[in-house]
Amino acid sequence: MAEPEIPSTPDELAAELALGVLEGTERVEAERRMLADPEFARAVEAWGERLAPMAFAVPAEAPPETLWPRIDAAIGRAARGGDVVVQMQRWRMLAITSSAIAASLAAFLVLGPVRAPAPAPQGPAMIAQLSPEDAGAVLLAAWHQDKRMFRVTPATMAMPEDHSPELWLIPADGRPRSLGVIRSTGQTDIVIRAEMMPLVTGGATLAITIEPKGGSPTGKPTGPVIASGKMSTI
Amino acid sequence: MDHATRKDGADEARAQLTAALARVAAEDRAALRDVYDRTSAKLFGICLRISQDRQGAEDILQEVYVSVWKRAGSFDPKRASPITWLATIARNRAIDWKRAQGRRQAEPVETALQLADDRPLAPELLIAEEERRRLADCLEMLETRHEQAIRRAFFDGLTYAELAERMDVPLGTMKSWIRRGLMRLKDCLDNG
Repeated sequence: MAEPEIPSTPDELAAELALGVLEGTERVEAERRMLADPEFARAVEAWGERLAPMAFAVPAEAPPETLWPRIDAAIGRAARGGDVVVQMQRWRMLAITSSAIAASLAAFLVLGPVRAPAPAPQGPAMIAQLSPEDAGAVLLAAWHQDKRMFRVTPATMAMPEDHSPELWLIPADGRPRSLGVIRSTGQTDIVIRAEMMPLVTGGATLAITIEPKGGSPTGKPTGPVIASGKMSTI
Repeated sequence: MDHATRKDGADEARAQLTAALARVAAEDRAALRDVYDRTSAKLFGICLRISQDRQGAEDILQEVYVSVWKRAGSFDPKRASPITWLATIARNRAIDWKRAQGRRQAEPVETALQLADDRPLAPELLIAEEERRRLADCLEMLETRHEQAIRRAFFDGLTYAELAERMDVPLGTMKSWIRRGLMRLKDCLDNG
């Protein structure tokens, strides 16, 4: 019954791995190659993307209402468990790489009220610390309510050539609004339009995506999110 | 609904789901709930279909959203559509579960697949529908046995050796069916 085995091409191998038909050493080898060879890894992803819609033929069915509380509880456990270390590393990294940012922010906080001795506070100053999964880029955005301005200071941010980092505000409705392209080194001040003011609230998300030079051509994010964080009152 | 309206609805839904995933990456629990409300019925259907076990499907779905919570930062909207990314996590988790359970004889999948889902679709599922139809059209162009083998691999998580045994052909034949089927599928999808 032995038939001559024709070895698969790299693209066939990527397809086989994505479909899940490999086993044993073949599968291990293919998975190892995925880690070592970015082009192969992209081919596997592309195959996953081609095949996944097969699953959409299955009729939808609402899960029981008891399921969400279970998920919510499991996430609480995950946050208290292994993920805490990651968070602490992020904080430590931020503390090391952005001491200058912290110093200037502190100056703002101390000087702000003195310079503007208004009868009522101008509203809360807020910050968002934008961190990626792998802590490769860290960025701090400080919201200056009185100037309607975000001061954005990247600590480390590598940007491919011919691309620009673009900052987005994602309020509770989930629709990203562009705040414009920022510099990948040095500070950028972004004054926002008055009508966007109500969207700048604690809990809103700021995110950075990699866009073609000059910013997203569509007005919506088109590139990968390299960092995101939630705004919180200082 | 005309085609342009559907497409706008799908684009808008895609942008919203992408933004919700960015908020999940920033550890926003309300955003995860938002993603859950938009997608859990579709993903639960997938978990049920693959696991063939209601209690198992609930456990799998829980793992799926915990994974989404942890991995949302690695989602890249340039390389994958958000609903496809989620469906892939659901399928992988369900297949892992099934393999861990030890295999039982899988039912043939034809009946489930011929069932068109005629209920009105939520906006985010318009994307899913658009992508499903494109793939279904291309799958139909394949030789029936190639198509069957690919579908069974996908839904039952069967390997080459298992497929060869279940469909009663030599291993080498099964490999060439699947490879030829997949390459024709790619031609059709990329040029269609």
